[in-house]
Order: sequence, then C-alpha cells, then structure tokens
Amino acid sequence: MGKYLAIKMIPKGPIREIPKATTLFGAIANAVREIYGSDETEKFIREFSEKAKISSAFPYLGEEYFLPFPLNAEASLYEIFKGDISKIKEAREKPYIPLDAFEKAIRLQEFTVKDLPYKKVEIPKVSLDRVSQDSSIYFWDAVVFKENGGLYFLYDGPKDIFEKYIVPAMNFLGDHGIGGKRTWGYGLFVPEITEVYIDEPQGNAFVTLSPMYPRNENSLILWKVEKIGGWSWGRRKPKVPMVLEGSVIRDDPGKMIELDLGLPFKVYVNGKAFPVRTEAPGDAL
Amino acid sequence: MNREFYGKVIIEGEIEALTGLHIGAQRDTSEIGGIDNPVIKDPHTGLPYIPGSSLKGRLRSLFEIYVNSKLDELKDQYKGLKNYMKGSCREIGKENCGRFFNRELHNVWIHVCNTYEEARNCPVCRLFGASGKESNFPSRVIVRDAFLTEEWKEKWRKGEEITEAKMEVGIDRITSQANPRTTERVVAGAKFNFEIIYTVEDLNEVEDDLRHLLMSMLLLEDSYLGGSGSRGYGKVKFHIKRIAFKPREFYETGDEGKIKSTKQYKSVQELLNNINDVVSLIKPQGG
Ligand SMILES: [Zn+2]
Repeated sequence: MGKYLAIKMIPKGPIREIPKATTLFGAIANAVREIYGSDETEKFIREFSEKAKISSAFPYLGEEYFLPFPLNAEASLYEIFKGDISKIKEAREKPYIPLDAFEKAIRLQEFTVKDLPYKKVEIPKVSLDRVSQDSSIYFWDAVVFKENGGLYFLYDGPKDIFEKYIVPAMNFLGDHGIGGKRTWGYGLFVPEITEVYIDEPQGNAFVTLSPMYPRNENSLILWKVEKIGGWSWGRRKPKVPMVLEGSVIRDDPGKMIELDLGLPFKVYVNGKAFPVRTEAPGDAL
Repeated sequence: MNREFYGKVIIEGEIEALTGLHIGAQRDTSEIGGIDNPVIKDPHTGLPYIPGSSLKGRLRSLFEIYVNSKLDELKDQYKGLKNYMKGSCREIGKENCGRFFNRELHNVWIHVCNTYEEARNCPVCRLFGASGKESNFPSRVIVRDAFLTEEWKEKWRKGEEITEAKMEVGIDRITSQANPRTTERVVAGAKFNFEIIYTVEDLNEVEDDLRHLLMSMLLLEDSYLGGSGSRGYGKVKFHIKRIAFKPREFYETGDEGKIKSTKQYKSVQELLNNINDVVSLIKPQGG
C-alpha cells in the first residue's frame, strides 16, 4: 500500500492546462527562490533530487482522486473488457480514471470509468485598438472545473523537505498562479494538504505518475514520449523529450536535467519518475 | 534580472454593474430562436462572470490611453517612455515605428515595450507586463475572474433572472437594411466578487504602481466594461472590502498573523486618497 502526501489545489478560477510534474517542479523551485533566495534554492534542489519526488497534477472531485490511464491497461483493453467494444471505447476516451479504477487497471482487471470533473473551453478575449477603438476577438484555451473539483498532486519523500519548501511554495503559488496566463488570474488556488493511498500490486514493473527522463533506455516497457519545453524567468527552455505519465517502466528513478539559460542560476527540469507498482503484461517484458 | 520579492497586496471587493453588462461569449452563434449575442458564462454552472482577462485588459487600455495623452510630461519620470512619440503605429503599419501604440495584436494596436529594461521603466508595462519576443516582463498585477456574489447566486437559485435579452436594431452599413438582433446582458445591480493581486518587487515603486492601478479603476468607473459602452452598457462601480498585505515572511512561515490589512473603503477614490494606509503596511516607519 503506497501512502502519499497529496496537495489539493482548490481552484479560484480556470487554469491554462493541467500542469505536469515538470511544470509543478519549475513553479515550486521559482517560488522557493522568491521566498528564500538563491542559496536556499540550490539546497532545496539538491535535497529534492536525492530524496523526494512529485507526481503531475491530476483532477479530483470532492474526495474522489483521478489518476492517469496506465499504458499496460491500455495495451490490454481487449482482454480487460473481454472484447466489449463500447466499454473499450469509453475507457479509451478518458485520460484519467478514478483511483479505484486505477488500482484495478494496474492489475489488468476490469474497471469502470467516470466523467471528468473539468471541461476544456475556449475563453474569448477582446482587444481594443487604443485609438480607433476597433475591436478584435481571440480565444484562449482553459480548463474549467466543476464545483468541488480541482487538481492535486502527490509528494513522496522526507517530511522536512515537504514542510520547509513544498508547503510555503504552494502557499505562494496559490496567490501567484501556476501555468500560463497567470496575469488574468489563471491557475490561482487555495492549497490543502491531505493523504492518498494507492493499493499497489506486487508487480515487477512500474507506472510513472510524472514525466520522466530515464537513466537507462532499456528500462522502458510501454511508453509515450513528448518534448516538453516552456518558460523560466522570462527565458524559453529548450524542449527535452520525456516519457509521459502512465508509461510503464522497469525500476528506474529517472533524473533531474540541468539547463543553462544564461541566467545567474541553473534551471532544473524534473525528470524523476514517480513509480507505482503494476503488473506488466507478460509479453511486453 | 533585478526583481525582488517583498510580498503581495490583495485587493478584494465587489464590482457592481450599474447598467446592463455585456461581455460576449462566442465567435458567431446564431441559434434559431435563441439569443444572437450571449454573455460569457461558466460552462458548469451557467452563471455569468467577468473574465479576469476582460477586466485587466480594460484597466490596461484605459491607463495606456492616459499615459499616451500625458506622454510629454511623463517622459522625465519614466525613462522607458523617452523612445516614444504620441500616437499609434497603425497609420504607418509597422510595429515599433516609434509611436506609443507600437504593437499589433490581432489587427488592433496597443502599447507593449519590447525589452525588459524598457518595460521596467515604463509605468504601463511595469504594472501590467510586457511580452517581448525572447524576453518577458511578467505583470505585477493579477486580475482574477469575478464570479457572482453569494447574494446574487442565491437570487438566481430562487429563480430571479440574472440576465436579460435586449432587442437591438443594427443598420447594415452597406445595404442600410435594419437587422434586428437580441443581445443578452447581465441585469443592472448584479454584483461580482473581484480580486486583484499586486506583487511588491520594488519598495520605491509600490506607491506609484498602486496609484496607477487605482487610477485605472477610476478611469474604468468613468468608462465602461464589455460591449456596447457607447449605448450605456457596462457602467460599473468598485466596492473595496479588504486590502491585505501578505509579506514574504507569511509565505515563509505560513503564519497568518503576519498578514496585515487596512480598514474598509467605500470607494476607489477614498482608497486613493488614503493610499498611505496601504503603503505603510508594506513599508513600516523608517523602512
Ligand atoms: Zn511600456
């Protein structure tokens, strides 16, 4: 049974997109820098790299926590649902499934999916010419949550790192916003600390709940890759290929990547895995 | 990169729609028998709200127009403004032609400083932010979506109408044909909770920035928010409920005792008249 600290981000409005562990870590490191300064940030990054990890953010609704669809279950959908095409289709459309479904999916057992507690919408923004008053409308994507819905992520590591760095950083980020379009109030939230238990099987493979940068390419079993970039302190970060959440791996902790963006400090990309034990399909191993 | 962090000032209150308010929702929806021009609503609850982007965009545009009109006087104080002449690059059609409204954004012309240093020394960009091609100056101001107050949500639950459909006759400019359409608007009197967050990065600029922010709010009260302002829509008033300063030490320790706040103010003008109350929360005597 995996027991994890969970940080709920109770939304105060929409968020640009659901942040991955890479975005969360970047935001936390920046927040630590704002609050404590550079030396303490270096210390935090060193300690975090050695001892702690965080998952990507996933949706919740009330007390129901969602997790990403594990790729081994996706590969075995036909067997799991015994050929029931409508159920397979329904499952395939959901990027996240409730915790109890996740616990079944990592055992390759039949599970039930649910509606997600958010919608992706286009939000209009009108620009007005300052002289002619001509207007122009354009649109931004946003994730809008149901009442009682929001995002959370998991933390695994020493309690002192959590209390000294993660909690203050989340208090700061709640008033600062996370992700894009913060200036319009996107990504503001009230943090709340809780715990989440995941019942993990005795498998010899893992599902990662964060994007990871493997130490050993041979540790990948079933995976999806995406190039992840973004911005840090007003500088564009080069895109780094990462193995996505839900990918199935052997025992590999992943690693932090160090970038030199010409800033007075190094920027770190969190490529650490957040592994949860799973049963891998026999023929994949 | 000489940004520091001293804390955040949080201004909370209500925005009251004094006249009907129309903040549009969609590209071009003409449902048959429906409203041609609906207001933006929360996709889950169906309740209208004021997007932070609309509110902030309006505050910025009014402040830009003010700075443009006072450009020559302000140049001495803000060295980022030295490079600009009054007016818009629209006529020349080239971004950055040297006029104040120098950036084309979806066919309209607005003001955005191009470099970090310029933005740092421009009263508009240092407050509202500037996005350059390779370097950004992040906004010191966050304007959150304003959702209906509990009182108005309760009215809605009891069946009261929060929006009304207004028939309007537009005249086609080419054919001169009358073109009746219905526009939805939030009813006069409706109130929304607003929250504006200002990040304190430079103690010498706090007072100036806050004055500019409050002045923009006053300019908005004398102007309009949303569409059809020339026809009397969108007159709004801010009611200030709370101004709090959350210093850096609050974020460090989580100790709510470190949060300091002022008394309530009836209006933006009253708050502006007492701006020192806020400044003294941030810069204690001798600090
Ligand atoms: Zn500027």
